[in-house]
Amino acid sequence: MIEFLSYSFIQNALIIGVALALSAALLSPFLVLNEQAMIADGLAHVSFAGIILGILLSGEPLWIAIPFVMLASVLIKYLSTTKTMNGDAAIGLVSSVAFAIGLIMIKKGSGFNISIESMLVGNIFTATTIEMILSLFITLLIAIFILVFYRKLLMMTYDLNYARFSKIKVQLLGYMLSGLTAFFIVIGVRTIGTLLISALVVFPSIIASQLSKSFKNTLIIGMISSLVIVIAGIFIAHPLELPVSSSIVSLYAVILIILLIVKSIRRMSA
Amino acid sequence: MITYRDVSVSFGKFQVLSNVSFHLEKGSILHIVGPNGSGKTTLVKTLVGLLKPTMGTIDIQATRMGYLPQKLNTKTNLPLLVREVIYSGLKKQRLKPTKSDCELIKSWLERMEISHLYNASMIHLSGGQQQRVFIIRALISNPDLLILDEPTSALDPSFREKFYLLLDEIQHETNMTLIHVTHDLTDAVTEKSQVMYVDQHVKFFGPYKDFQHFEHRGHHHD
Repeated sequence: MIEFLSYSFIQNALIIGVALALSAALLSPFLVLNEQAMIADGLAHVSFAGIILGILLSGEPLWIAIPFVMLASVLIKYLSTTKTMNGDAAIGLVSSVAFAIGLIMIKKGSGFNISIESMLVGNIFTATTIEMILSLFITLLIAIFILVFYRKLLMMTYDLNYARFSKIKVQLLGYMLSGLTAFFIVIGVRTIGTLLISALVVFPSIIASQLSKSFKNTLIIGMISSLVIVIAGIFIAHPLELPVSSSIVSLYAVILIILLIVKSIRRMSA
Repeated sequence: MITYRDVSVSFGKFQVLSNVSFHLEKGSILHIVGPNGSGKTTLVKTLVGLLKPTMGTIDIQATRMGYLPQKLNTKTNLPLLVREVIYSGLKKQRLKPTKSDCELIKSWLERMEISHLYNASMIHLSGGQQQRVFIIRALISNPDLLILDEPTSALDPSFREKFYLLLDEIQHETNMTLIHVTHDLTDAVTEKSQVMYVDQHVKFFGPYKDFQHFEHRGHHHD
């Protein structure tokens, strides 16, 4: 075990894993319990295009991908506030168009030597120092954002009209929340992959809300479960040579299934 | 305290409120009545700032407003405690509520006869219990303008009577301005009350005793 931890790529992976686990769990209740779970999935598809664009244009794709996806998140948010379409339709539109453009860029881009598979499943063990620093940076940003605006975000999540009545800047906070989600998703796509990064956002509050009655505890239990499962996922994945993202999502699924079974047994016996 | 000048609200071609003008002094009690779809809730939404009028001007001088929306919350998948909801009605909110804020919440729960619900989950409340929680959320900041949109629709008749007595008591203590949308004036009305009858236009605005004459003349059936 100690030998395992002495590899620097494992240390990097653990640091990024902890950062992503915390960021995802902090964002989770404000997105998932506010019927915006799919925004993470949509932005992951946009990140796919953003990262490819970054690879084509610069030596460090993240500098292009992060602003690109943040802009897309603003566009999704804007489209969903207009009366032309619902939030889920806006996510579907922007993400599929971005994904399509990404595929065209791969096909037509010159000198492209990245496999689509590695983009789809990510690889936390090949993460760069920049990615590690950015993952710590985004975790700090999200933590500050949630701590400062906790009460306002909670009110927006539960009762948007009452939040508006209370003069909370719901539009601005909404844009900030999706902008931060976008930043997080780009880093996540590089390490966890396009297809499974949204699970990191969706699972924590779904798991926590099975165990908690209060919003505060949902957030805290979500963070703890996210940390434990992501770290366990990394430890299981390496020796078994599984993709880290798959082992994390499978662990989440097993725990959720157990919780739901226990809950229904308790309900039946009550 | 509140002045409406020729306020109209339309949604596309459909005009919901037309040329609404009235003035209300501080400490007044106004009951707004009218048939279904007459624009009562739209009027309330313009009062609380959730809706901008298509035409006309609204002037409201209030430092703290309390508001009870008509629709109860239907989010059933969101874990949230009663005290977390009530706390959101306070003007100054911290990350961790102070002891005195918690005591204040407890005392209001007692006043509304639901003190056992302090640590209860919102998901498991009945409609009437939920409504009481939202009434506390509206009152807890000690507002000088309170707007209640059908506050008793889910309350049982015995508590409804108590609620209006309590409201009357609070209004006397604080001299707050009270605007109350209702279908049923019987429990709510006091000597001081003014009544507005809305049906797209303001068809009546004045003291309750004059409203009784207006009703007898059957104006609201035209």
